[in-house]
Amino acid sequence: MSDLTATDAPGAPGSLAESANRFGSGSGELLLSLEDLEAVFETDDGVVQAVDGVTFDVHRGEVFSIVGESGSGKSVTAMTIMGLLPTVKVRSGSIMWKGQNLLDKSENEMRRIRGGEIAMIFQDPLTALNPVHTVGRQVAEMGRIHLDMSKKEAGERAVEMLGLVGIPEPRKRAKMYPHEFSGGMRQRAMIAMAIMCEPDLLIADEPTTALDVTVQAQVLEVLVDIKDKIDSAIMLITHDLGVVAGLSDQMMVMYAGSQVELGTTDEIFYSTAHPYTEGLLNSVPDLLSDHSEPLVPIKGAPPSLINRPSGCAFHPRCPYARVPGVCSDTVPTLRDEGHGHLSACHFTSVDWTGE
Amino acid sequence: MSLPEAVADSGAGEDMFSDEVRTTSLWVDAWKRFRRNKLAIIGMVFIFGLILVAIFADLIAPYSITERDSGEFRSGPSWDHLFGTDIIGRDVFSRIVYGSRVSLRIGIFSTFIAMFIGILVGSFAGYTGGKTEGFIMRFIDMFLAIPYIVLAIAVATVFGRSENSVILVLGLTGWLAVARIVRSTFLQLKKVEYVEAARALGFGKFRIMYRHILPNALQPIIVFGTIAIGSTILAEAALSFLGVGPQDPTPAWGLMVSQGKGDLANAPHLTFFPGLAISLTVLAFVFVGDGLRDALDPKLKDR
Repeated sequence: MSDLTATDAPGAPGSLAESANRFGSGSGELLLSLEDLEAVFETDDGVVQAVDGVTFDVHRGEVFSIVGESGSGKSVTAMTIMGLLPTVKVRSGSIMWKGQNLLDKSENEMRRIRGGEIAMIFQDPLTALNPVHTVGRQVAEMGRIHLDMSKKEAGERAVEMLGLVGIPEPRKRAKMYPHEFSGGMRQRAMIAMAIMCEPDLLIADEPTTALDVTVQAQVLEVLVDIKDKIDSAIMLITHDLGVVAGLSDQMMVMYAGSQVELGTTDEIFYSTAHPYTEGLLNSVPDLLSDHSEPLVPIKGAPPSLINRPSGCAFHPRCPYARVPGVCSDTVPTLRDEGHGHLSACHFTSVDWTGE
Repeated sequence: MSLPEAVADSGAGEDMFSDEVRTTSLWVDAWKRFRRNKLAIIGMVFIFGLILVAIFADLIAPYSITERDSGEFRSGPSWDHLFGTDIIGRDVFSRIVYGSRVSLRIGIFSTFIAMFIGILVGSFAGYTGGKTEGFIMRFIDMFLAIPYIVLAIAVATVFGRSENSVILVLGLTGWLAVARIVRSTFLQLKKVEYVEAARALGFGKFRIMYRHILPNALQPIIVFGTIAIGSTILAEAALSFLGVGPQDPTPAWGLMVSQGKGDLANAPHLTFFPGLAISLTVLAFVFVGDGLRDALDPKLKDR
């Protein structure tokens, strides 16, 4: 378990060591604090428990990652923070943003926060940019609506932002349409749009999934660079543990709508305390290994969020769930493993491996 | 994609402010595809010709619309009267030339009214969704169930028979179909990721509706609008024929067909020429509409 494959991901050398001293909560001001958030969709087939009791903090200056399979509730969590899912019902909990509960905000107040204080970057930059407007105009529009800029001011700032995210010849590029941009350039443009108002939090929902591997690292580098320049925080939603290993300070692992592990990225990678996280780490290929160890996939498929398994939601797939009457009956609560590292497993890793 | 070239020639920094990068706008692409459609080009040329005829009617028409040649009643085409004369000796050619103004005015203004109301209502219904949408759409369905001819008769009785009542009737019935098209396009587009992204970046409802969705929804609207101009001209002819359109001496083409129908056997030119004008005009608009449909469809882009 201790040979951590994902740390060797491209574009991430040395960053684990750098952040190794950052245990516990992040260094900066507390920006976002979710407290026992529970969000459901009511469908004809039943209630979908999309987010079930999620609690975490995001501080200024840090990269907070949410990791999990498709359908684990990571995007729903982000969209609920932004108030962008009209069909989702928040049953309990709070979303405190700079000390104020976003769930109590009116639509108008939320609109000012969206883009102004919390900005979002989407997965596919091709479909997230409007095909009929030039890139420059779309970036400039942010300044027009949030910063009350004149057309000229906004245009100038848009060009500046496009330059900042590493688009060559931003003045020319600003006049081009999204379809004339490459994938990586589009994502940079999307980032330029998001940082136009220097938001305090950037939510990046799978920002590199739709990109070529070769440009993924570049885009991530831009993202982290920008974070430092505008002194914000990043919430990174991804299923790519390589990306997380390279950039993240704090991370949360989600499974079937609930958080199974929360802590610093190093803690979670080096002293994994949940069998699901271990399963995820084991299914990442290792470029440097001698290929003698086969990849170990997690058996089975993620459960339906309508009929979740009893007890621990992961128990039907868990290789260690052999204690009758515990895993299948009792819902585990988050337990402190030390250093602010929380895990929702009835047992410690010592228990399962017998080491 | 022009990216590699653009990067390659980006070495020199002195042309930072020039417009040199060739951006192939969507409209340029559309025009290229449109040009390949011969029928659409013919239709477009015809429409331009018709507009010129309407503008310069005073110069083209040899007679005025009321001028009567006392010796010539219902006489066939001749050098004096290119399309012959009608039952009271008026020059049919001149009346058709002036009639182009009536047809275009009715076609364009009533389509404009229909588009304006239709886009407003349709976009609101499509974007808002839920109960509001259901209510608006049932209201539209209800009105679609009333034939426009019945409404035309009602309006003609109240406001009198005139060009303006025809514009009003066709505008007020035409928006229903426009609203349905706009609504369905908005329903599709409001779920598109760039709309979601716009919402996530704090753009307001109306900005999203009119700056972000509407430009992307223009394709079906433009196509429908073009064909609608043609079909309103046809509808005007039908109303005139039924006697609820403009009144004599307005040189409305439909009215001329209607007036000539009694003399179909002995003076067919009275119905033939205005009928031909109607058919060709309607066809031209349909051809152009079809051409636009193909040209503006992004799915056919790489054909």
